[in-house]
Amino acid sequence: MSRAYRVTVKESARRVIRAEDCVRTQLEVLGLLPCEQMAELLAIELTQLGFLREGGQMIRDEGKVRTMIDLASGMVDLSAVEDQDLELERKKSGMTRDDRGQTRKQVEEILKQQLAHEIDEGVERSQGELQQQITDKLESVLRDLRSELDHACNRATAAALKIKAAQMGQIKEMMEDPSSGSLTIVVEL
Amino acid sequence: MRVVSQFENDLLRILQGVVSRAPIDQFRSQLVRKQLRPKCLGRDAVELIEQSLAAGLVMRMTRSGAWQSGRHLRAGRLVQGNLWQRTPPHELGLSFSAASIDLLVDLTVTQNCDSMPSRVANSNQAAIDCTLGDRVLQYCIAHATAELPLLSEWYRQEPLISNELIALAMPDRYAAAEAFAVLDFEAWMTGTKAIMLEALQPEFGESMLRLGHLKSQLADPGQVEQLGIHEDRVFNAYLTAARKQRRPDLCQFILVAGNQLLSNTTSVRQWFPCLDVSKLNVSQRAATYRSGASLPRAICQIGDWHRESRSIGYFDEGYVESQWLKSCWEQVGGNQLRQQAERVLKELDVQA
Repeated sequence: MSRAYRVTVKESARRVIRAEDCVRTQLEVLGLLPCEQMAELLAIELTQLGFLREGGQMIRDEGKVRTMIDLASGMVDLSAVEDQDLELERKKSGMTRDDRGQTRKQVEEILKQQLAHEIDEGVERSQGELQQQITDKLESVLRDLRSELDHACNRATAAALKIKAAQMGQIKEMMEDPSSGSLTIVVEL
Repeated sequence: MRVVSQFENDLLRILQGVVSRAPIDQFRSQLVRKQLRPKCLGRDAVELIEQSLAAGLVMRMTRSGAWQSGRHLRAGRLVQGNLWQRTPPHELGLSFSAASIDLLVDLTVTQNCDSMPSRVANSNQAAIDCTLGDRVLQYCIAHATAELPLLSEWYRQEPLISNELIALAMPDRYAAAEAFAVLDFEAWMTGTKAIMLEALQPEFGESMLRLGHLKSQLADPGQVEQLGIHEDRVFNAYLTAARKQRRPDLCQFILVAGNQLLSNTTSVRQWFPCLDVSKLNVSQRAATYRSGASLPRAICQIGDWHRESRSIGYFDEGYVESQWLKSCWEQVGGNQLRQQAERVLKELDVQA
């Protein structure tokens, strides 16, 4: 009577997976004053939003998302990166009629190949999930960032207008409405 | 009485359909019917082809937009009226070469997306030998058969791949092409070629509206990007040539079509209602949206010309062109149009 023998193969893998995402946009800063002065005014506004200055750039980190603004060009770069340590272990069983010998080895080989394929699929699935998480994080930061930066640009522009007006002549009257964002400056030339 | 063979009759029916802008159904059966290439065409058939080309293309261009009264720039002067009022007759002539006859024969013989005949395919000579009349006929054929996949392979080969009129009106035809031909729009900004562009302005505007509708139906981000690449390539080359040759009047169709497309846009989502970007990350989405915004970018470019034109004085070079641009800009509500275009670009720039 022939017997069937169970063959069990176990594979484990350790991988480090990385997901990243980035997007770039441009601030609209009016050139009312020389570039360096506008950059300084913008830097002051961005500092109030939690940005830190590093040379000619303003940087803010929100969790895994980094926002970098180049003060000279107004270029805004958002990037998100996350690494994850992945440990995967899979076990698979098959049957063979030959406990020792070629048939058992063949069955083991086939099972190992199937396990390797399953592990690769598992890694790919985890990669996709991690990518989705990073994308979602970047999206949520992006949603609020546009209006934040618009307000900062508007305040920097208002400050630049005041300086420009003072350069042109004597300021007689200045009216500012924070709710609507309007600014009226009367200058005597 | 003239006597023609069945093949020649089909060829003439197709030609009539093409030049009269008839609905494709009127000559579809002739296009898809299996035909054997004849050794040559009869004298009667050739004479009828000549008559159809001579009279038919004139009617075709007239119906396309030549009848409309407009203001255009010619050698730094402003001319007004319809096409034959602002152009002396000797400048309106179109000549045709054997390339037109060959194209018509190939069109009659070809069935269901066949490749072009080998003697024509991959032949740069085919493009070099084409006259203006040949080019216009190629464009008319492409326009007439737009609904059929019949010539889809032909657009990847000469002479159609380098036909600037087709590239301008139908950049989507080249979306699947593996190689780009060099488009020389500068040559189209002067002489009789420019006059053809003037006549086709309304048709180009319709094409832009068609492209806008097409883009709104696309769900695949890859297709949007492909189309955007070709649109950008064509618009950039065209606008650069128009700027260099001081023919802003030949870009009027961009403003007119832009007005129609952007004036109804209350939300950026209306541009790509069917687009599925759920599987893309943010940077890929941004790239996709940007590639679909060729028209707003072109409008902003013309807006920059308008801004510069405001500082051109009476004794400065380009005064007449600047005056034309200022008047056209006002007519189409250019300032509001530009605001719309900038708003779309700003929203698409970081659209998640």
